[in-house]
Amino acid sequence: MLRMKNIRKIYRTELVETHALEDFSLNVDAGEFVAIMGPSGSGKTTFLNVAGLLDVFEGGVYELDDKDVSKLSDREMSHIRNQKIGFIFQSFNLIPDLDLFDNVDIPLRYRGMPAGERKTRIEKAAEVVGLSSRLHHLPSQMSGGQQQRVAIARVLAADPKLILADEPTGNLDSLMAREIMDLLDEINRRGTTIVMVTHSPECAARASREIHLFDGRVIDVERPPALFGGALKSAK
Amino acid sequence: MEFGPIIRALKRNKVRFLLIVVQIAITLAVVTNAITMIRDEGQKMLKRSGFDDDNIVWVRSKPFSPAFKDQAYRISTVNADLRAIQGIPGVVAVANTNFLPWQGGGSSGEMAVGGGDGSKYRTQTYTTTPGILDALGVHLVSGRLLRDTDLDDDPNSKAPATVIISRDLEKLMFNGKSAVGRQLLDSGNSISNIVGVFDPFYNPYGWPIHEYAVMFAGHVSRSGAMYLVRVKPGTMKQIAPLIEKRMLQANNGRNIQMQTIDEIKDRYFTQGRIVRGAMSMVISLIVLVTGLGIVGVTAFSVTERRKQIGTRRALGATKGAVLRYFLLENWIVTNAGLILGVAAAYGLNILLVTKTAGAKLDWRFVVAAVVLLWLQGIIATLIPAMRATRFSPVIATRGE
Ligand SMILES: Nc1ncnc2c1ncn2[C@@H]1O[C@H](COP(=O)(O)OP(=O)(O)O)[C@@H](O)[C@H]1O
Ligand SMILES: [Mg+2]
Repeated sequence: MLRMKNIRKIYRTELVETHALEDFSLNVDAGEFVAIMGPSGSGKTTFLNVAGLLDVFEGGVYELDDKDVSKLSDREMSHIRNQKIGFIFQSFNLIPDLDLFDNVDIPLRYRGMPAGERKTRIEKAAEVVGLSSRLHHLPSQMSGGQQQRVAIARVLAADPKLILADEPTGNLDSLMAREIMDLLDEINRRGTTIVMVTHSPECAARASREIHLFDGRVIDVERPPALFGGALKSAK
Repeated sequence: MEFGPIIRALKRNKVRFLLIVVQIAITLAVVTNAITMIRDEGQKMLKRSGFDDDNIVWVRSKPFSPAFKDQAYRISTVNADLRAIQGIPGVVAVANTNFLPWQGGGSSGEMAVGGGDGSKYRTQTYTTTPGILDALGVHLVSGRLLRDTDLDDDPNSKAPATVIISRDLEKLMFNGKSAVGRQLLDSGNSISNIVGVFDPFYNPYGWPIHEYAVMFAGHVSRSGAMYLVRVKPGTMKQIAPLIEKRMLQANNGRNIQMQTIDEIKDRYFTQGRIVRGAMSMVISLIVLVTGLGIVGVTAFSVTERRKQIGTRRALGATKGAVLRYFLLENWIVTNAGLILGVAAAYGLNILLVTKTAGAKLDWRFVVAAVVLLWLQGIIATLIPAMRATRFSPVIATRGE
């Protein structure tokens, strides 16, 4: 589903160059549920942005759904995001002026889907996340857990091949977090690939695989690199 | 197109957009009426009076001698002046009248047809001695000229006055029938007999009664006598000083003041040019202010919706879709303003037509202004909306 080889992403400011991803390689197969873990600043969000075609990268090759997406126009990247990828964000990212129905509708409209099909999909997705009775509620009228469920409904209705989630439970209490994880589990069991960044070991445990990042690289948890180990040792 | 969600989102931000709606409505109302005024002034300036303007001079006698307190003395002086001026070689005609063309006004009153249905017509009204038509260079169309025996200088007179009227007033009041031998009633129900009809007549007035005139037979002497003198073409320079000399020879208890009609016309046109200039400035200013208002509100919306735009981009919106969103939103707001504005434009015009001498709104100006404001809306929105298209989808994940 997702194949990255030797990806490099450098942020340049006037004073410093930050190598957010360095020689980054990762394969995720179709149907996997992968948890991405790592300390703050290790490049998790940067990886997600590159994987989701939200950001460009400098070196390496990225194949998404068996298609090389390394050199696409802005327009082509928009279409792939719209058709193949679903995003779940830490801060939900609902449009505050739109109700549940219109929020879930957004990616469907960008696909140019007919109104009847959109309506069916939106209502079905709202039912799956248990918000059928709140189709015309605004985000401000819902709790954080409910808002994240709207965001999941937005992904469900669009039915993407790959879901990218950046700390989806980061702003939620543990009860609400469990509800969200149950939903993601359910979606993954239906066959959708999920890559989820999380800080929570509990959430990571729900995934089929854990990937650990450090300094913009994937590290082997069993054998941490010398620097990582050294740092740990010296901290003791 | 995403009209539905845009309109629903707009409804949740009513106050901000209502301001722009009202501003656009006011702009449309002001612009259409200002263009109408500009055109109206332009037409007035293009229009010919039909008089021999280049060869007419206006003469005013300003008495200081106490002898002029007596009406009989004043009238005999006027008659002496008329003879003296007429006697100058090169003078075509002279009239003692309070009519003075190209001032943008004069005197007016309401008249009804004697024995008619009582409908009142506003018309210009002046008093004159018989020489007026020759002094202006206009023609008698039917009936007869005024005569010295028609002159009636008694303000309390019970006898009907004698008048001649312009052909356009005849058409307006008598439905294509001849006015000669008919009567007019003024607002005090005083009767006037119409003895003649003349043409042409055009004197721009504060009301749309530029072509309508009633000329009463009488002397004008109360606050100084006034005369219109027409001379042979090209002789104005030589004759004007002679007029003053002869008048002072006849009676030196007064000062003489003179202005050619060309000078008076020039002053009138200057006024028209000032009105046109001022209205053009009003149009530019209000269009500019409204344009900046749209830029400001859109720029604010763009900045405020930064995260939302990033999210939309992440969910698959192309740059074009972002641009389209803002253009559509502005188009909806503009249209609401224009619908309100068309009503306001006609409302303001009705006020201008009834309360002042404003010209009627031309629907083509309304269409032109609507197109102008559409374009303005698009251009004013494009500037901040282009910035929105450059927002990176990365904003969606980088919480800000
Ligand atoms: N826009 C940016 N400009 C400069 N540096 C950045 C930018 N975004 C992220 N970084 C840097 O890149 C590194 C990785 O960041 P990030 O991917 O957000 O890490 P994580 O999500 O694991 O906390 C950090 O050192 C961060 O400071
Ligand atoms: Mg992060």
